[in-house]
Amino acid sequence: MIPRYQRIVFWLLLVCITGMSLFLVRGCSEARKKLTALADATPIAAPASTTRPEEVTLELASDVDDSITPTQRTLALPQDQPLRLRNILQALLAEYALPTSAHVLPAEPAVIDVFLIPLSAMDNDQPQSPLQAASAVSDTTPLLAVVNLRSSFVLHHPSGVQSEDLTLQSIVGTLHAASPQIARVRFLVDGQPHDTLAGHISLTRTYPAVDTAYAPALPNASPQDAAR
Amino acid sequence: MVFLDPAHGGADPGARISDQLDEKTATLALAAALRPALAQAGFTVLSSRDAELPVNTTLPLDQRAGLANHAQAAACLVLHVTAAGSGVHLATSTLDAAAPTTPGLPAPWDTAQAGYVERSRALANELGEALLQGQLPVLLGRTLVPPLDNLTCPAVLLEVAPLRGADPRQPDDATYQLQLARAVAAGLRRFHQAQSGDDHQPAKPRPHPAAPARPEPQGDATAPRGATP
Repeated sequence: MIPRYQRIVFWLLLVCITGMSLFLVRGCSEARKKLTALADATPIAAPASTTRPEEVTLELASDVDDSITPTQRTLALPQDQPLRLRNILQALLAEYALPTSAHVLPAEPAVIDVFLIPLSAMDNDQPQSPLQAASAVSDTTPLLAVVNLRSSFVLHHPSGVQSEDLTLQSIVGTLHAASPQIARVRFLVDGQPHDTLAGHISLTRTYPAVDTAYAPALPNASPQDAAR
Repeated sequence: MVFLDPAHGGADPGARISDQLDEKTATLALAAALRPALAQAGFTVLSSRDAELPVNTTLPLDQRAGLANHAQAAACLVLHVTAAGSGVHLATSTLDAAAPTTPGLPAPWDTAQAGYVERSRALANELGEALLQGQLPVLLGRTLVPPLDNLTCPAVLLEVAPLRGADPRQPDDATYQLQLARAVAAGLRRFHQAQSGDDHQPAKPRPHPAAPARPEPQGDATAPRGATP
């Protein structure tokens, strides 16, 4: 004779097993539906950002004669403007990591991001949302470029007035050449304001984006500015 | 009066010149080398610091500019030393030239140098010529380094790099510093004479034997950032 409590336990376990089986079957059914949806062969939209070869001007610095020379390079660049500018700056700083460079800098990634902000949004007292700021941008809106540098690059940059000055002017001039819409340039290091590049050149200022190319001249000689 | 500002000091060592030498020590040594040469040329010399600053202290850039402006110096030299590059780099402010402010009246701090930019470039040019005549390679330029823009005097940043080539010398080399000091004194003397005329020469002018004759009138003062001998 089976005790009554054992019969109750038996029926409870049977109910649980049945419930779990139903739950498992339903879960499998849902998973199959999701997989079927993912396997939809409908063509998806092409990515908005594609790369294409483009000729750009890099303002290359030289420690030898304290000059900055515009140099043409062909780079595969995305169409998205901030990404494009970041890639151009990466290409510029990669030139300085070459053994043949006349302005030797550490060979490591230097630029985290480049942000573009309409200057009108900076001057406006009323705070604007990123959406409002973006909608206010047209092809002629003067922009502030914010270059976010890596702290490792700043840490290993050679310290000295001339060396730091050339690096900064080279970046500013290259940004100006890449996008004349950029009117001013600011620098951050790991997303934070930083006092100096390597102990001398201030990174707390906002620099006008101008053509920084120039050629050397003798003291007391007539200026031979290359670009001004 | 000539104001010397040996950059860095105390908790701010500046650039590493060699394993045993920081920029703060090198700039102080450079100032020490310049002082007798300038005194010999008849200039009174005032320095933002004559010795190493106490540990964990710094001399803020605004305070350095304040000292120079208060002294109403005839010329201000901001001294830097670097291990990069070669020769002597002379740099003036990147500010556009503006009309000088009336003495005694306040000037905007961030652009205080604007009224002195033309004279600063003339000073850099005189120093550049003197250094070239002293057989030292020179680069003329403009820089964003503070406190140049805050100075109300003809101001030049003088950065000394090692000499390369046949006779290499480090910035702390005594011969190099002496050669440099003599050239700077000669350049300052010529600048002073050009600015004030022969009637207002330094108190005790003692022309250095190697001092060159007065050069031809200067060219355009808006010289570019870079120059090579």
